[in-house]
Amino acid sequence: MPTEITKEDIAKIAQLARLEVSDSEADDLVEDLNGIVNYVAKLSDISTVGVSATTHVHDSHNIFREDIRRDSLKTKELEKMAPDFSGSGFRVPKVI
Amino acid sequence: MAMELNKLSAVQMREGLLSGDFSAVELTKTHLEKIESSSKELNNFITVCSKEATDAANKADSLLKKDKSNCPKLTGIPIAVKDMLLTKGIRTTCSSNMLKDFIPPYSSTAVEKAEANGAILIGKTNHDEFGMGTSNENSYFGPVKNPWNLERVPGGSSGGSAVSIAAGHAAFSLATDTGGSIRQPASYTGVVGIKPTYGRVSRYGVIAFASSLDQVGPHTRTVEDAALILEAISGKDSNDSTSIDLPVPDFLKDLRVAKEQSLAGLKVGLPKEYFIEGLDKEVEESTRRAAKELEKEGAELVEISLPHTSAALPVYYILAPAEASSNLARYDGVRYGHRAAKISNLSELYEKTRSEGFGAEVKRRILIGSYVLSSGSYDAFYHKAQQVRTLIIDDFKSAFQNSCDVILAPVCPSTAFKIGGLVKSPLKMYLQDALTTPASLAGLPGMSVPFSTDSNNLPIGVQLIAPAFKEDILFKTAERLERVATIDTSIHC
Amino acid sequence: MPQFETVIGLEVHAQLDTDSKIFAYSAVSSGDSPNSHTDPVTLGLPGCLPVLNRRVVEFAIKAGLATNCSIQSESVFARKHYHYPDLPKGYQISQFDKPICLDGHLNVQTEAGEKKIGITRIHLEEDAGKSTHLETEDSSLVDLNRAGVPLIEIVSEPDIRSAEEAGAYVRQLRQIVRYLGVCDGDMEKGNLRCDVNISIRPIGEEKLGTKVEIKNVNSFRFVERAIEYEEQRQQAQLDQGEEIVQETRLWDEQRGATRSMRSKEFAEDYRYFPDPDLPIVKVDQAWIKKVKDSLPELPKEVFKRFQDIYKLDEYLSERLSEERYVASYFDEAVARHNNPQLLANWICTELFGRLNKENKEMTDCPVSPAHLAELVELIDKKTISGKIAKSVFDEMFKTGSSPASIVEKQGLKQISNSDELESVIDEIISANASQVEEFRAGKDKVLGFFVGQVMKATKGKANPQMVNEMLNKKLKG
Repeated sequence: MPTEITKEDIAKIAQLARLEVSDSEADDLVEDLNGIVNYVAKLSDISTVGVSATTHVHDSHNIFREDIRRDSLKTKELEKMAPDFSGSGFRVPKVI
Repeated sequence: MAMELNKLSAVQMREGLLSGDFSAVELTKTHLEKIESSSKELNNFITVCSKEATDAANKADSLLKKDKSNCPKLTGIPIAVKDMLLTKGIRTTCSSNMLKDFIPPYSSTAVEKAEANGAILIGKTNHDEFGMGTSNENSYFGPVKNPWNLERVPGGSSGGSAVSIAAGHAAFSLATDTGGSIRQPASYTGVVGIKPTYGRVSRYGVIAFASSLDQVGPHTRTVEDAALILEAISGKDSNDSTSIDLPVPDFLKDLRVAKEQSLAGLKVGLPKEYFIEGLDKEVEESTRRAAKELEKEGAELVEISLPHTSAALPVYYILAPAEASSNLARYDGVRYGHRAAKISNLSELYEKTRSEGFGAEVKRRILIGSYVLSSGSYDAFYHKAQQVRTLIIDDFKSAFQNSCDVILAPVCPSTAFKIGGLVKSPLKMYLQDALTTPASLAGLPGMSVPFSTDSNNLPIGVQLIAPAFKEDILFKTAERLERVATIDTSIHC
Repeated sequence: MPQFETVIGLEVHAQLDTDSKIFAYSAVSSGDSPNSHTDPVTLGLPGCLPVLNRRVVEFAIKAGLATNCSIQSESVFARKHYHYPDLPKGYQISQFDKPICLDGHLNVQTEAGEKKIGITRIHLEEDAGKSTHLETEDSSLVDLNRAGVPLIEIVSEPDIRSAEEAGAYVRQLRQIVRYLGVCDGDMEKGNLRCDVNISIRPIGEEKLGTKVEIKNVNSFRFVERAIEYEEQRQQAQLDQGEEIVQETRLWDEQRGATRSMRSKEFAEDYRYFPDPDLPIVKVDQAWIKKVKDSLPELPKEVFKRFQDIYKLDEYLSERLSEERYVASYFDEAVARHNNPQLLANWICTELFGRLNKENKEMTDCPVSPAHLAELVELIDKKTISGKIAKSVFDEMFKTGSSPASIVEKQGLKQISNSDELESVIDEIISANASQVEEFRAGKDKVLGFFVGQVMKATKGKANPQMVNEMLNKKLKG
């Protein structure tokens, strides 16, 4: 199992998850996350040689829908939900 | 009489409505008054729908008058819904700042089905933010209190839902369970709670926490009520690819037949790994007594082993945060929900919005989840957890194939703890899920039945687990325990 | 510098032409007003869930079969995480470990001969929306119409060694997806886009050089030019003793160069895991067979058939087999009137020429195959001359009427009655005595004058061969 999580690791993960983590929050998080990681690391004691991973708990497969269009939501509804909708699009700071 | 209406079970309410003992309007009014009198203190509601409920009650009365024999089975019965299930046109907050003003343009299938059956939405209940918690202390809208003891937690994440039933605010409520979120609060507040088999009830319109684990289920005061409402909300949904295409049994009808029969031939498994060190003595004693009661009814008690039980919690705390970190990636202030006010670029849009929108526990789990999925960690954590999940599933398969028909165990290691008691140690908080996560990981139906109280007069529930899609076994077993339970589930109504 | 060779791999994204999106039921459609094709799943609303469109899977199987892939009996959808405003859920549903197709290939034609280009895999995924930058403000507008549109990503092996091979490969892929009817291949609209992975290494070296990715190249020419530019750029860098930086670049047509995309501060970690909301896809032999049986003849097969059975030359065979719709048109016309050579010429010269002039697509052609066949039949029967046929064709194109009706209405039947022709010829000969003299004096070219006069008098309807014969006879005396 990977070694201890550092403050740099927290910064990297926070960036991936787009979360702001202050310096003091990072201190707490290092402790919390390491505690949790050490706890779950117990799993490494269990042998899983030849054991398949469960990705879906039932055996179902090939759940399809037919290629039929249905009506779209109206832009009025989008406008009601959105924090900043300009009339034709969702407005966001410039996307480079 | 009026105040007593909300002590009735849903089945009794229906009988009363059909016989004209009272009207739907009276019934709804009683519940609204009860909500008015105690929900502020308990803080179990985020939104109360008085006007909508009253309008619906009026319509229900017209229907009852016009065509009584064809009234759908839940006509006029007030229902509370956890604020993680979308209700079209009615604010659905997920107990989070991120969605505190979110008004969904569509309803969840489970709510639609309940309403199609005539149920009246009375309010949206408080819960741990995004389903993450075991005490309902992680809500943006403040903690929920346990009506049995106002200094104690009601359990989580569906604390508000369980309290609505315990406090007589609704006849039943719809909640969600990912690692124990229906069953544990049920045990803490002395109500019935069932998490059905994964895939039994549609997840469409349920705000996702952990997709491979989330299920919708009811809180009720009686086992018959649970059977009634579960049938109403179950069934294959073409909008949910994980909902299973199996016919939905008439659970209540089957239960009533089973009630008349002896339990002879029923093998009840007691898994030794659930009687853990640290299990509260009174909880253990209550659980074993429950087993003995079933034996009196003709059931055979069998000691079984589910060897990977202690691995369930670590597996859960890898898989659930991982899926959550993914499911919560969509909250970015672009199309709905909270958006940070002062942002000068795209990065800030994301970072500030998400950091402001999410509470501390949610952030913690997103970080854990992102970590276990990140390259370099995926194999050792996520993939490993999925493999161990297979072992846990196999434990149950083997037990049900070879040893027993239903499993009886404690629901959680203790009874309701004090508010604020565990907030400083996330790990201790997580341990509350230790006995409920195995059934979640295996996708099996699990139930908590109120059975007794401890020396602090706090409720103790008993957990039952059945094979996949065999909720009928849960109902018939639970109903026997209900007959000899030493707890009054309507005492706080 | 002859000592380097270029190693190229291409990732082609093709938008599938289904009616609804891959996991959502709103329409797949382009050119409509922004955000007019959205629904809870497309928007990534809380509580939404994806449901797989069966037809999308069939299209992917078609593409796999047409590119000689092995269709996988089990494939899995995975979530690919990154944050971008046009990606509603904060992850894209794609395929990672277990894609739907593996191990295919295409044989492409280059000047050096035929070459086999391997296809590593084809997988299914959903497209993202679009952002447009607003000039007046420092913001962008996000349009989610395209979010959730089904894509197949076709990944080639790094077998390509030149711009020419790359161009041939993309052209053939595009032709195939159009033939199958799974994608319209419109590169300008971005319905077919290409990412180019290019590195160079000393000839004989097995290890690959540092790879540069050129993203979203949307025309064959740009693919070829971007590769040529990159080859040189990378060689120049190595010559100067500099290392190639692994990066993502864009083709800048205006500057005729690739340029670096602004580099990100942190490397992206996609955190792939199997999507718990979507059960696995199982494709059995029966399904594969059903799809295989439904495949149309592919371009190469059509080309060969036109050569072998219709006996057309390479040029005509290629032109007529290039687009499936044209091939069908041609087949239908030949079925009506069995003169493939003449029909081929008419289509490739007159028809294409006219369509081009009017900026029309073959699919909007006002002349039906049946009518074109009828026209050629009239020529073969000598009912009209080839020249008259051109003006009949003109009218057919304008009005969509049948050639027979036009000939009837305009009285264009060729005059092949020798008595009738004789009287016209006699008249003209007697009216142009001096030219008769000239002809008899040896000026053979004057015959053309007489032919012209006869044609004028008969409004072009005189049978030209007969006129020639008869004039010759009479003039020679």
